[in-house]
Amino acid sequence: MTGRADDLFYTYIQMNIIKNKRPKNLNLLKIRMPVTAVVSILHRVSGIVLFLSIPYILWLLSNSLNSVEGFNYALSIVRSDFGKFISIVLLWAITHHFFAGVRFLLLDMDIAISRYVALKAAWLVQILVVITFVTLVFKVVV
Amino acid sequence: MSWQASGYRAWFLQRLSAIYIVACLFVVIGFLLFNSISSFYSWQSLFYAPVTNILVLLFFIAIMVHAWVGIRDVILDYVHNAIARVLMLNLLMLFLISMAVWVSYILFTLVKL
Repeated sequence: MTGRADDLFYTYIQMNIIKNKRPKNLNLLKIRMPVTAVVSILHRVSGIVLFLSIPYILWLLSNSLNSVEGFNYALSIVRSDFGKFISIVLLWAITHHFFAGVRFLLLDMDIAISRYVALKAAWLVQILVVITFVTLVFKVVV
Repeated sequence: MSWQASGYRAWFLQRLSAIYIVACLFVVIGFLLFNSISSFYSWQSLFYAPVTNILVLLFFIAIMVHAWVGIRDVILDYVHNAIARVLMLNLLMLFLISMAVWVSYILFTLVKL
């Protein structure tokens, strides 16, 4: 049994829900996010970066396979300062997307899904990304 | 719930393409550990065999499928206006199909039977 005051209270809440006037505090810079959220957001960011790189990669592939001149031109682009910068960004993106993606595949199989293990796994992803990224940059770009 | 409406198909394609892409990347890394590409001709000759050619094309198709599901999810999350959403999804599809046609053209012109 609910009294009249309760009825009014719930009506008030429902009206606010309908008007979407519930208080919001979604300033991403003020919210302290768990590492799992950071890994998830970076997975999305790296995916968008890789998506945007598709025309660049195909343009390089097209040039490099076309003729000797095109091959040398593609090499000169990749070896320029700007090309190196792009390569470093893309190496970070692919490394992060790979390790975070493997974590998502494991989560699909209910591996490392409980809260504390998930936090550790997300930290492990971050560490593996840094190690692999730095190694790749020194092996491939520098 | 049907295969398509539940989103299970998108989920499955995302995982399947991811596994193929990763397998290809490992093959490429393994190849580069033992071989070096010294000239244009050694680079171009890698794509002559139809089998390699088609496997490379499949790699790019897998990337387009993967990008379709991923960017589609991003658009569905952030674009709420129905018209803008349909427009962006169509532009995305158009872009990815163009990229797939382009990469098919790049690769198929190289095949030497």
